[in-house]
Amino acid sequence: MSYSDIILCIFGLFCTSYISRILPLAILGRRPLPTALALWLKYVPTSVFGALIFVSIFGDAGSGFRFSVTNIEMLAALCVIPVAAKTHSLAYSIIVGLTAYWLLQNYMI
Amino acid sequence: MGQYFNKQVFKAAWPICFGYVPLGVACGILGEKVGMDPFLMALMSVFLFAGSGQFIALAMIGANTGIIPIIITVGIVNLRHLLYGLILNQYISKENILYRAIYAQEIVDETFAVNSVEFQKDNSTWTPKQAFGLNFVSHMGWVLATVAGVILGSAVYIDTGLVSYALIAMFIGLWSFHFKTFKLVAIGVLGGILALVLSLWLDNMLNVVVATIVAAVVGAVWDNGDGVGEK
Repeated sequence: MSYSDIILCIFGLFCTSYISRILPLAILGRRPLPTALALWLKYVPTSVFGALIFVSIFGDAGSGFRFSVTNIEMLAALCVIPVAAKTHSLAYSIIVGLTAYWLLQNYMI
Repeated sequence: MGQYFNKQVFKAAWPICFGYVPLGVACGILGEKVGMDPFLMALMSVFLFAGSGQFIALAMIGANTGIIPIIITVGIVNLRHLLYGLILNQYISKENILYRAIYAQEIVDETFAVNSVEFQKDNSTWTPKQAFGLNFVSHMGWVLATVAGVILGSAVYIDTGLVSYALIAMFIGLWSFHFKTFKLVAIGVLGGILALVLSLWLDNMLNVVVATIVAAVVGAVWDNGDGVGEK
């Protein structure tokens, strides 16, 4: 792809991505949310986090799952979850997660 | 400026930037391999600003894919930002148009995650200005990291498995703020299982979008009078 093609591509990427980003802000504006939508939105963040986390840990690029007792991402997550639930601290979550991952990767599995 | 950038903002932003450094450098290294220079990389990180979206776009550029398929694919990957805007809107709807136009551009998984949790905390003092500051710091962190990746090229070795775990751990930390009721936890697990099952048929993060929509509908129906409650 030529230099100018890449610039054109980036502009196109900006346009399509920006639509998803601005649309809800533009449409909802200052209107209050209908109750049903508010109730649904209450469960969106937990669902997104669950989805992103499970896919990162067990996903295998669409070609199956990595369900295994030696799945390092899973084992490290099992260390992070109790710490996160107890402290609600992102710093502790990251420190525990990286330490556990590193230890598992280098010394156990 | 102190309203946009203060201690509370940096305290909330560092885990994002911490995760972005290795991820952004890795993204820049990939960019360098497919022919990006620092200027193009900066342009892409400013105007696209999407971790997985940029990795996919760069891989497709490297594979000589046409512009239209790249744009459509990344557009689908970034559809989930629509969900984030629906939630964030209620906290920033009173800000002016310029604020909201820029805010929209900086909605990504990480900034949404941290801002929504900060806004929803009990007795939250998180302001739209602080959220804006956090977005800006994160965005700049991403731009700098990706440009650094292009410049460093393959001269550095990064254990991406290890470093990208920082963001997974951060997401677990953010998820924990929703461990308030059994239903909230169960719906999160449901979203996770659905996303995994759907990944067999849907790719490009579309599995995450569909799983979220369905799991949250189940949550709303099951909610049964618990109410919108915490804000």
